[in-house]
Amino acid sequence: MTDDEFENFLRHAARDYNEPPATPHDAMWARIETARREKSSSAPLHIASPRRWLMLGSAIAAMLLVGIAIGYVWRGTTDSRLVAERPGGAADSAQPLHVAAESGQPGIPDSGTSSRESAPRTPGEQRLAAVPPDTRVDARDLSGSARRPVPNAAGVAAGNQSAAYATLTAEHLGRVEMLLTSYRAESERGEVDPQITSWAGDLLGTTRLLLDSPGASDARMRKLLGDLEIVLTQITQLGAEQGTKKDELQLIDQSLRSHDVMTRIRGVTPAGAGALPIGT
Amino acid sequence: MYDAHVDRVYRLAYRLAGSDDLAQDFTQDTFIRAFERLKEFRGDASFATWLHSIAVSVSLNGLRKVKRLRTREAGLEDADAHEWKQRRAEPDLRIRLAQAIDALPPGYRTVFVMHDVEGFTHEEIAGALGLQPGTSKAQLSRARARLRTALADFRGEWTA
Repeated sequence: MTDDEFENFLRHAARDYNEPPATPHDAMWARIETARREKSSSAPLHIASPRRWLMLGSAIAAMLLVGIAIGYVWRGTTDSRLVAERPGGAADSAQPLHVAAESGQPGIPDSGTSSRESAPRTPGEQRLAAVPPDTRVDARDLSGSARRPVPNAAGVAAGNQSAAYATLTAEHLGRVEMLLTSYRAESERGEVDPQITSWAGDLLGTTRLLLDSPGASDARMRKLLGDLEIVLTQITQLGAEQGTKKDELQLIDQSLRSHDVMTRIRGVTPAGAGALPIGT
Repeated sequence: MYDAHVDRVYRLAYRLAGSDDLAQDFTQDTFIRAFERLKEFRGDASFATWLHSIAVSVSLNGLRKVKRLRTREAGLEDADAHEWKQRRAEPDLRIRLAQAIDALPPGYRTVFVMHDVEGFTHEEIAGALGLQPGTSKAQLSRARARLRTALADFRGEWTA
């Protein structure tokens, strides 16, 4: 018996050794997918895929925009308060007359106001135009007619502030509505994607900024934002814990239902959400 | 990736484990690990070799655990007695061959199964097990020598 003969025999006979059946492709793939889904739902959020980077970038950009806009609204409020507190009214409104008087052309109107408002019409106004700039505020107080632009400037500032706040709030509520819709679809399956909890965290920050903004004077809106803050906090908390607990999902659903959050959001947000301002 | 490689991974796992449940578990673990470590694959070896190295590692570790568990459950004496009875009661050559392969040391057995049973080349085996091809050849040669000794009383059958 040579080695070659034995090897030939071995190769032939060993084919039957633990001979495998047909590969159960589908059954194994289903188990692999389940195991991977379980792992990904319990694992902390990894920002790896381009889609996640895009989402994170969009969220940061949205946060920055909201922050800048709120800052703008805040500055507008502060300016209009200073104008209202200053005796004699707004410096901006006096500017056209001042410039006109300095240039020696009292009849030239400012581009932002009508010629009827800026041009000296009465003898008193004509005299005012001739008054030196340093003493003009007092003179306008005395004349009475020059005080007219002051309430207009405050009104314009307040209007701008209100419109900007309403726009931002409507956009924000649109995003929250999208999030809650996605969340409800996920929670029905008994698990919530980590991206949802991360998104809720971003929206929670914006909600708090809007709540703290001086523009949030509407009691109904404040109440809605307060309720959203609670719900978003609960959803964000899901991401901080290992695995998704059924009790917590039920608690969030209960909060959504008891506060009637979705209906209230839709009540204050125009159709198409996100892009359209409310109250305009 | 799964469709292209699952058959070979499952076959190898089954040959090493001898059980459908274990083979499915090992195959599943192999692919889960491969998906997790995909970023670590640098392309130094072929993808199949990299995947088979995971499969062999998962299977051998899994079998070690199973063996430990079985040893704990049944006493060593009982196992020996069972093996002896089987050998005496089933003198068929194929069964004896299977028993002899099972009795090989894990390193020899893995090389033998991969080369003589599943048809891997020595280069593939070396890549999957982290050996030199020469080492793979040497281990195969020793494995065959042990099998030849174990099957000495069947000498007449393989020459027929």
